[in-house]
Amino acid sequence: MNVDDVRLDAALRVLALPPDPGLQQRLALAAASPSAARPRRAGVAVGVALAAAAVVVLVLVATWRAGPTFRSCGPTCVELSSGTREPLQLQVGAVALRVDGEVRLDFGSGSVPAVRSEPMTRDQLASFLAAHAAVPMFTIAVLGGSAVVEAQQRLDLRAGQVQQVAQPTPAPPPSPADLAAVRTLWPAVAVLSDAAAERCAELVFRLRLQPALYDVVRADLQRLVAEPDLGDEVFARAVQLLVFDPAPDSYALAARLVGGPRALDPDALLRLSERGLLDARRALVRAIDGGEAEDGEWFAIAAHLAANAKPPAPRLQQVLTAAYEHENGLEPAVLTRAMVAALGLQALGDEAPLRALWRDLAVAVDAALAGEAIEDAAAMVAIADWLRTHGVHGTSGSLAYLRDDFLAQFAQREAERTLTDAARIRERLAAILPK
Amino acid sequence: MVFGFVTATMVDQTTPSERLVQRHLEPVRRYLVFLGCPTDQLADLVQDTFLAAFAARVPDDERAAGWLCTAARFRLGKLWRARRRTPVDLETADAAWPGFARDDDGDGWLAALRACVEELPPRSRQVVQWRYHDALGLAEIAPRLGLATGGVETLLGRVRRWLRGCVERRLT
Repeated sequence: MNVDDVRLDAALRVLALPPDPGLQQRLALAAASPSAARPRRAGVAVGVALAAAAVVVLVLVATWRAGPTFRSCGPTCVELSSGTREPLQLQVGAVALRVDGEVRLDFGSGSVPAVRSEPMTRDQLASFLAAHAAVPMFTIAVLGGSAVVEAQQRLDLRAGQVQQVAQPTPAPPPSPADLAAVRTLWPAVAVLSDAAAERCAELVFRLRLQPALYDVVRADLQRLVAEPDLGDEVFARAVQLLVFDPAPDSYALAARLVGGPRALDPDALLRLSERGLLDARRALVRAIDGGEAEDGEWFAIAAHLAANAKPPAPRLQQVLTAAYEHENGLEPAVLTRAMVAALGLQALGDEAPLRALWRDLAVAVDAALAGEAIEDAAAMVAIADWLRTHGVHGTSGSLAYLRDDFLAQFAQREAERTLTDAARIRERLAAILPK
Repeated sequence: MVFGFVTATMVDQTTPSERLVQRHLEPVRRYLVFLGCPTDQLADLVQDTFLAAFAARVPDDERAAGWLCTAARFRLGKLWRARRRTPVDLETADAAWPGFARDDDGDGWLAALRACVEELPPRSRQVVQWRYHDALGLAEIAPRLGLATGGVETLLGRVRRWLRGCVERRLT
């Protein structure tokens, strides 16, 4: 739709918007509280402080509907006792204001019905949270490192939404039971369920400390690679093992895979290419020049090749230009992609996109700061800083991070740690912008 | 209900924050809906935006509207990122906003649009009602009109084109 169509469509939505007197009332109440208002004439305001109201509401909520599993742990914190040794604290990002027939707590800009009243096991607790996974700013402080991982995985939360209170326990070395499991599982890996095979593969990576058994596994790997009817899943796992496997003869196995009839995943090709496998690099260039790389997912690889290509693929510029134009956004989620594409084009001698991006970035950061979007501004600056420093010459591992939005999450975490106010953000931005 | 016990002796004059709410609440709600904010999230986003404005002591002057809209837009972007979907192209919608808001927060546009909707034939008016007021999908509207989904889309496209022309005529 063009702008005019979008305007009409949006205006029709606005026309259908009903008034919300309740919201006005709640905001008026918040606005009238001394913490928000600071009346200019002394001695007339006897309101209730917003923070105090939040505490009262939380206590009220906790005692009204919830059973002993809820407990206030501060003005912006509710603790859920899970019935295990790891209570879970929910940090409330904003005051609990919303009451529409059901008690609700506001978590940041979302709201969650606080209706649990019976003790919860850890699994029940995870289900409860998973049911509210759409809450956009669900800031959770979890006691216990494994619970952090569990919350992130189960809820698919962004980094920064889950705060780790305690350090995670390092993964233990494989136990005798693990080793026995690998001995039993590995010979049957081709017929295992996905979950069992993944577990097996994970253990194999940890088995490098156990050379004797590792050799057995690798011998089987050779057999797997030679197997013409290998299923897709097992093939992918075999490739993954080869890519990460530091043993010299895995190189020969990998070369056989690249030269084989089956197409390898671009990530695997890039990693093999980085390990010096020229066949893998040629396969990547062929894919780009053959038009396979125009689906928007290859741009980081294209940028990486642009910076390192020997020889460059003739269509790299086209792929990167398309990626830059498609991803030309400045919010943290897309900034990484835009910058990677621009850096790739710079490596090919086209400086204009990167210059435009720096200019737009300064404006976007300023606007974000004006909108109190400190996190957004901080993440944009952190991403720009990381990419300015690392460029696209980095390892294929870091490029994989670029593609799956890892950098945005990493940057946000970094930003939350180091760029906590507007002054610091502006200072950092000034330092990284080209003079 | 919860706040029934919270009493506040209101001041004898409105505070800057209260004036901010009075003046800008409706425009900010409109702006967010214009950008495609889901209605079930609207109150939360507006609330967050104003609470941030109170905390930042945003003065109730000519800069307030810009500040509030920018803050609201970033919050909406954050919501979409968390949901990993962007139902509306934020940049295009944002570019369309000034033409709608003009210098009256969209009052003129909405008045013209309301009058134009009234002029629609009953069947077209009904389809607009279902689509935008009742938020029904094309597949839900289709059986009510005895049309295929594509037919509803075509009808809506025609209605929108007519409405666009009508609003433009009225505004000029």
